[in-house]
Amino acid sequence: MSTTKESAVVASAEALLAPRTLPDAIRRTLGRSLHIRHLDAGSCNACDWEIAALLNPIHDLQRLGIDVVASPRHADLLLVTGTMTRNLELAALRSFEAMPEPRLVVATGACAISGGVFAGSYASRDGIGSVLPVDVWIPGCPPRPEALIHGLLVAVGRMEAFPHERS
Amino acid sequence: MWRDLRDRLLRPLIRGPLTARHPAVAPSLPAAARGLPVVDSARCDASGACVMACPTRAITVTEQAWRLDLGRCVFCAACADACPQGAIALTGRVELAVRERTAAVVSTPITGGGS
Repeated sequence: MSTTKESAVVASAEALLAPRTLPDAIRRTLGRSLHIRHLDAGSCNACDWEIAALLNPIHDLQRLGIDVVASPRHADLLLVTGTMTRNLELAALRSFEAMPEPRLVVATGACAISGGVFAGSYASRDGIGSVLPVDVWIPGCPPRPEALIHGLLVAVGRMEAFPHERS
Repeated sequence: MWRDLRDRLLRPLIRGPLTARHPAVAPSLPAAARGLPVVDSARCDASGACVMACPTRAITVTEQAWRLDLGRCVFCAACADACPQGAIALTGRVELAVRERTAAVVSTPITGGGS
């Protein structure tokens, strides 16, 4: 694997074109267990604190069979926070490539979805969607721990996504 | 000593576990928690004050619809404060995760008012 940013962009385009894993297949492979790797891609750390709050006795993420691991190689799901700064594009892509399949990517917070208050900045992309293939988007600034739990369970098909109210 | 016993042993036993029962039951949030912004379609007059107030340009307003991109929204309630009709309110709904980026855009038809 080459190390230039150009190759990173090409690889990200290939990742976007790859067939998407269906929730049924994910549930078949993972059962009710889910291991998360949290990736900070230029976050202000508000989302990261909410993720940390998931592990406290109030929210107790482990009771749901979900846990946080220390390496993308051990993870089923990449929980990405932050706007995807230019300096972290390659690191984010490497983290994604290091994950075994089936793998999921969750965009956490307004920054990871659209750039949030930093949208249009020269130093970052507007969200992680242009670098990683995102499976679930969790709005919020930051999303509350309840919203994060909902998003994680949506990713593995254990909860229903927010309904889109069409006009 | 007896007070200590009461506070550290008996009280937790009576109170029960502190862990939230959240995915099984609806989340219990503080009253001030800000979630999904909703617009009262009868009161909205499409003045566009919310569009100007929004720090992340998450809102677009046409004569027919009030559209909010939740992927941009930072739940600051500036739109609710700016609305001259008081038509916007932030609800306690926080479970807003979606599978498609486009599904994060919520649209409400504007029925009343009319600028």
